Amino acid sequence: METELTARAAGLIACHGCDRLYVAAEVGDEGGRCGYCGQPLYSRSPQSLERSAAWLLAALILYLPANLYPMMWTTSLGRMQANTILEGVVVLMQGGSYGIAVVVFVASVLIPIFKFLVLGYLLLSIVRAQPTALSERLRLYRWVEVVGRWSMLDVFVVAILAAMVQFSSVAAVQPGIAVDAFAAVVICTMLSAQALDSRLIFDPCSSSTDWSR
Amino acid sequence: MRRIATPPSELLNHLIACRHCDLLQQRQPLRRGEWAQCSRCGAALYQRGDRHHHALPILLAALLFWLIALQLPFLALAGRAGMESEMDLFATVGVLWDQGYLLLALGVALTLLLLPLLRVVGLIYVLTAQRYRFRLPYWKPIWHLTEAVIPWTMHEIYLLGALVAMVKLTTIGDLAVGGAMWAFAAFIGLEVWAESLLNHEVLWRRS
Repeated sequence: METELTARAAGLIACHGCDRLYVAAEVGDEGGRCGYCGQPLYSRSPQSLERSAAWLLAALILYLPANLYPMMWTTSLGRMQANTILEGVVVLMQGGSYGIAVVVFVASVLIPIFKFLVLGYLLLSIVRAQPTALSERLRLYRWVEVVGRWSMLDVFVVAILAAMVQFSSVAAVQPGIAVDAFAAVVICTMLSAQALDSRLIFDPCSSSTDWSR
Repeated sequence: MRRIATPPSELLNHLIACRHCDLLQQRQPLRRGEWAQCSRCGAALYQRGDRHHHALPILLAALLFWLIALQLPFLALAGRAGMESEMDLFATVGVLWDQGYLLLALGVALTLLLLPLLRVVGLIYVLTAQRYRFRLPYWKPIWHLTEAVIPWTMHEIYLLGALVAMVKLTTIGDLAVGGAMWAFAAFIGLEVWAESLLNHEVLWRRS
């Protein structure tokens, strides 16, 4: 095999469950199930772009309350203070915990923004059938896949702090509304990345790329 | 009701398409310790699978540690002015529930406790089924469920979150790490090890 051929271009469908290859023409238009593992057969994730874009849009909308509303309420000697994600990072830095501040900043600010930019770029590049930067775009996608879940870090941090620090008005930590919104942002971006079939990057622009299948 | 597709021909069994870039490639025999890599994007294609059967005992040990981690305390704080508190893994869910964040409490319960458990138990079931020549019911849907759940198991992220929280808590007082922390870390370590030995192709090519 000297030439670079995708399974789709060769008229084959790979089962996503067990990697077996089927001849697309024999599977037929209404689809079929893999005879070995029982999973439905499809060449590309159905409605991949539509679903991915929808989840990304939902994440973008939720990103506003996630950053504008407080993530954590800290009560110290009777005084209550609300902290958004960014304010929480600043507080950490003021407290001298630079390392932890960087970790939280990366997980809660940089990674979500990175995901928004990359997923948006990937979606646009596939729709415009961009024939260049194939490997680079796949690498970006893989990064998003690997790194995306780690944004949940701050949600767990707030939950653990709240579980440990409950001394009424002397010192208390309570989760804020933003925790809900932020968790939803992470979930939506994960679903967006999951819905996007990275193999679409490699489908040549001139072939019959049927977006509905 | 979708019909079962025609079984692939012998020729197609020698080919594999990369899951990430769809490049069609020829399967090559592997030597010990080798794994096949996509020649275009470097993604893992398949391994030898000769250590696949080691995964089951490791997963059973992992499950044991998980059960231990649930019984023991996770963190304990001895602060100034009598501020003392202790938490176990359930408390993370409990405090969110008590504060009224019901949906979030459920989300944390799933990602931290239930889904990792489901994955490990599901894997144990399928691997056991494999030992009994696949005579256990529903092993195929359980396998697919247990695979689908992978990105949603966030227990290792929780551990990192605990470390970050610990740094913040040490400013309040003396912090003690409970047995649950170590048991949880052992659970994660064993599970990662077992996953590296698993080879799903062994399931499909022998069933």
